[in-house]
Amino acid sequence: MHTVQAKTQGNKTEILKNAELVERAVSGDPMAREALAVAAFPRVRKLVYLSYGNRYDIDDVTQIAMVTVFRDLPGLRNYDRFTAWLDTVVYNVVRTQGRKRIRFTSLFADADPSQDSRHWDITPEDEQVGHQLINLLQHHLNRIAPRKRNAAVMSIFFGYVDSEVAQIMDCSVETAKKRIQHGRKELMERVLKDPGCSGLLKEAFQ
Amino acid sequence: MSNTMCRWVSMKLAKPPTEYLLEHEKRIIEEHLQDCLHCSDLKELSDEMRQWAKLSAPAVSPFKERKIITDALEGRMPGSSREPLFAGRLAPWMAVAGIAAAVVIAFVLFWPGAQDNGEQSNELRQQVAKKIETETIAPKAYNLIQFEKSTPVKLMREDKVWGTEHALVNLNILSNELTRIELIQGRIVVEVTKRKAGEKFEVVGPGGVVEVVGTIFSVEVDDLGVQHVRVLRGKVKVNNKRSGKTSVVSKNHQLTIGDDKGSVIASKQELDSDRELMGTLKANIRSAQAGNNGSRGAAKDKSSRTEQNATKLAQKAIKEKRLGEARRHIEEAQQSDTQSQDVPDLLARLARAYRQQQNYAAAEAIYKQLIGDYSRTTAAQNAMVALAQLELNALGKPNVALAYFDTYLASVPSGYLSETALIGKARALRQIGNDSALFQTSNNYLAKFGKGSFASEMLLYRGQIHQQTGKCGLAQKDFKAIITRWPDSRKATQAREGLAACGTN
Ligand SMILES: [Zn+2]
Repeated sequence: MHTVQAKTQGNKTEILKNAELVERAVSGDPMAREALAVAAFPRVRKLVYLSYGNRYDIDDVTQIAMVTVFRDLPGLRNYDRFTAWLDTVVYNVVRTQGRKRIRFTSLFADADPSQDSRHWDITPEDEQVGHQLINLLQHHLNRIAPRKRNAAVMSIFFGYVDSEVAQIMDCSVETAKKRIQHGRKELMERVLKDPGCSGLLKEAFQ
Repeated sequence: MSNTMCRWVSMKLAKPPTEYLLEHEKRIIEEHLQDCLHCSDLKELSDEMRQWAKLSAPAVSPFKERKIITDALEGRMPGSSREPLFAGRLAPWMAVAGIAAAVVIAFVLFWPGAQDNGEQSNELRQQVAKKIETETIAPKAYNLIQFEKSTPVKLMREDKVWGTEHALVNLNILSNELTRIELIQGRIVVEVTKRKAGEKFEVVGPGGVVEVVGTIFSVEVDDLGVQHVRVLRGKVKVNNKRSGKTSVVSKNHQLTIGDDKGSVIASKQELDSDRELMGTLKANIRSAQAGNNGSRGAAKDKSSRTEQNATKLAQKAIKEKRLGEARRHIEEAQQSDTQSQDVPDLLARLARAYRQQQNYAAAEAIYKQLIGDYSRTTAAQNAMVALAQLELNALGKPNVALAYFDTYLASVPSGYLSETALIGKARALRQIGNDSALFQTSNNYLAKFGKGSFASEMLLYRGQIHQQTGKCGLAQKDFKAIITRWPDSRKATQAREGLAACGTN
């Protein structure tokens, strides 16, 4: 059965680019919708995880994002650009959910326990270097202002260029450019100041 | 080094790698990096950052992942009340496996990440393994498998599965007695060894379930989601999901689930394409050619080989997006006696390729050719729906779309695509603003497919028309049905607005 395992690697990204499958999912085919949901989940979770700015309700926000994606899917027209559409929908969910949270927690400015307990939620499963690294990056990203953070996340972790970020964030290309550059710079400087990072960075990509 | 200089350099280094630096900027930066440790650290980090795109978020438990996916597909927001988790499509599986095994099966089915994070789910896997041991079955689930040509995936016993390159399957080995393959798209050929009584091997597609005893057969889900079954050896039982009807397909026969023809003799080309997928065709061609040389003239043999090429070349050209060339090869195939039967399928594929390139005018022309020249083939019937969708969505011509949807519905009233055609028709009528026809269509749909994929949309259309014509009692009934059945959907929000407009809530 090992052959089967090897064959399933990396398929999820390809499925998101499969315009025929996307088209069938858009027209309501339940099997195609499910295949797309399974394939989209890791990407949605990664975007929420990095851009939401808080560790508490990531699973809930992921679920809200997934529900929104599959609720709005019948309106998708450009089947070849599913991932860009997906990321835009998720970004908007993250933005509105984040705003709700800020309105609420600003009353208790210092009550957010994530502020000083960086590793509190690392489970044994996360002991892999890659996961320690992304945890650390998330910790630092959470401290950057939302717009700069999200622009940096799109640029660094999803490979979007400025014009694409502008489209997703619904702003001008110039603004997107600035947000990306400042977000990246802030993240880099925070990471450099963190002594825990240097070892991880080297290990993670050997 | 000056602080202003460092600030300038660090801003430049923070630019994404896709952005260019001017030559003189590069020189200044290089010079600065030689004396400034801080900035050279930044430079190193910005190089490493290119790798961060590969990182994925920490694993969520497979159960949680499965739950979020199921909830998302059913439109449930976090914290909303939930129905029993195993309702719906899993129920029959559990019935087959028996109550004792049900716990374990559910456990494994809700374990979709098995192929993903090898290491992370180790602990979970051990738990599962322990459970399995005590229950004496060895279920496994593999999601979204893809195939390489002529390389079978080997299952238990001597069972093998081949798939086309764009075939996508979920494989569930539920017990020694039950193996189930879910075919999402593409074509697979399955070779199954003889089973004892009570042992089952099933292939599930959108149209229905194919049940096997000991045989070789292929199942294809084409681009429109239509499911075809073809048998190369032995026989299979096919259960139509929608009608509940069971039919038997025997050797060299094929069945398209949902069309009215039932099991018919399969063409040699199609049987050969299955054999080709298995990698057993080459030997057959050679032996056939040896026979030909004895009985037929060499010239005839040569011409049949060039014809063989036209279909093959067209397929290859479509795949490699050389569509003009593909068109010429299809014309060659059209001239040939032995290959003209491949033409409808080739035209359908070509139209789809044009549509993918967003060359809608060319796609439209090919669909029209297919419908005009091969009106009695399934490919042409399916093309009507595809063309109608194209007219409605991409070309913005709801009136033209409506005509094609209607033609399809009139010529194949209970065809597999009738549900798709009805929702398309409703959307076209909605755009045109023909409420009385929309009312009839929604009634028609709801009578036929009350639990169909588009029932909520049709209920909303009907409710809104009731409401606009002052029949608030009937409107309320439809709106309330939407709110009860899909409480968190966008349709429910619209239904609540409808209710409010009717003066109640
Ligand atoms: Zn410097």
